[in-house]
Amino acid sequence: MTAPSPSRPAALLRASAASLVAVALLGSGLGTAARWSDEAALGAPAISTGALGVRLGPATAALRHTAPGTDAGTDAGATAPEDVTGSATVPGVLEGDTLAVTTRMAIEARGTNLTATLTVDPGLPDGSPLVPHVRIDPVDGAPPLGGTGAENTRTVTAAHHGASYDVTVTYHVPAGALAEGTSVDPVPLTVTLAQN
Amino acid sequence: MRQYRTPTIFVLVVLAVLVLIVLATPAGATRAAWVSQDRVDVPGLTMAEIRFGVTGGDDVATLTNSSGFGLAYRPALAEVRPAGTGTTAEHLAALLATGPAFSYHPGATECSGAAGRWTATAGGPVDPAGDSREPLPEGAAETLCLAVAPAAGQDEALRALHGRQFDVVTTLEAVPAGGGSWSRTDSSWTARYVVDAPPAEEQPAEEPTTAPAPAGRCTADGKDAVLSWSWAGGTDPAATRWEVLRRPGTGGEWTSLRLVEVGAAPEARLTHLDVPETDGGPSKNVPYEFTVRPHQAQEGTAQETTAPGPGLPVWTLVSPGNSKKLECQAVRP
Repeated sequence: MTAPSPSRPAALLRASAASLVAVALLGSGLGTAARWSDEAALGAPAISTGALGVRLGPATAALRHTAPGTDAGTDAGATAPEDVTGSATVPGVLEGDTLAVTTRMAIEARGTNLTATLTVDPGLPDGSPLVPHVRIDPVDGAPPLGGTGAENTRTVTAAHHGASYDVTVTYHVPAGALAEGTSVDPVPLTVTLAQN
Repeated sequence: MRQYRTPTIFVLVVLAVLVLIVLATPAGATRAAWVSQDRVDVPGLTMAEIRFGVTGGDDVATLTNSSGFGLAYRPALAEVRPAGTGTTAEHLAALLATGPAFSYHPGATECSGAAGRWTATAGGPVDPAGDSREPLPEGAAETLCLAVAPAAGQDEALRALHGRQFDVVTTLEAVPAGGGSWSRTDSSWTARYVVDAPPAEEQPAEEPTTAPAPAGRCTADGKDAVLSWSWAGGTDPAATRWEVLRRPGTGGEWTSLRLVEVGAAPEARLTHLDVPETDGGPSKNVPYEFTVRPHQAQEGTAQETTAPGPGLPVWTLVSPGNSKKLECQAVRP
């Protein structure tokens, strides 16, 4: 009683299946582009969990009269700021004036090897005569955000998790930009934190 | 038959696993990432407006600033227009030809004294040299005075315009004190200018070309003659009568001849008897001189006293021969 030897077709089938499995396993490794994968070889630990978030606190607004022609980013010739927080529209704006809107930003960035880009959008439509400037100041010893070369963007890592920053956007009214009695509509100041 | 069913099922299972692996493998274009966003509202802006008021008239205006911010102002243009009854464009042209100057004095209610802050010529822009604007703080009111100075050496031309009225319309410019591109020139102020020409200079008295008219007249009418004269002095006390004096034409003391009453026109009537004949007969008659002087009653007394009559004429009359007539020979003023 010897076991019957397998037939030739069955052997071919088993050989073919083994080849397909080998090809599939090898091929799937070449095309992997998942975000949560590491650049290391297969078998290295991959990121599978984390958190990314930004939250803005209530905004304050202050109007500062600045002599026209001075640098909008400086305080040259400026008067004491007038608190206009809560106003839907600020009246009596002159050429050279600057409206400063400040909000406190809290960052949530948890995850291994996490990087993200923080973008501050002043909200002005295209062609707006106002000139915006963005400033981000750490609060209570928070680590500085990474620079990107652009005034309104920063790089965020997990090192910034839980830190707070004051985001101030100034809207400068240059001379000759707006006629007497004209108005500029309210706009949203938007902060976006996007994973890289 | 059974020994071949197991490999077939095995192959099918392997193929199914391969399909799952391929489907579960992320494609190369997959870029899924976490994004978080938040926003706050930025208030709108309403630009301010320049509110610059000019009130008043004549030569002083009051400037007000209700803009809510500081302003700076200056006169920008001075125009002159005919005003009042009878003043025409020709009069205006004549005035402009004299080149009057306008000067503006901020903070003054009277323009006399110091030089103006700005000057202008009629119909032209106000001198904008240098930093020529004057500050007008928020909520403040300030006076501005206008003085019109006639050009020197134009007295004769201005005398022809004496009393003529003109309106000086001054356009004022206001800008924000802090600078910028805004500017308002829609405020103006009208001041009335009345030409006050200098009085004509006293002309030197011309030398008379003819002999002065005699202060007295002598009208001979046969036997009588009437002496008449004018009298402008001695009104206090006024002359009440006139005393006629006489003396020989060769000279001598005056003697009183008679008193005559004061009439509407001072005069005295003489007869040939008032010219005495000489002892040598009528052919030897000589001229006599006559004059008059006022005879005034002294106040508070009944007596009358004589007073000298300087400037009164002296008449020379003669009664020739035995004619019994009078002839007027001369009248000296």
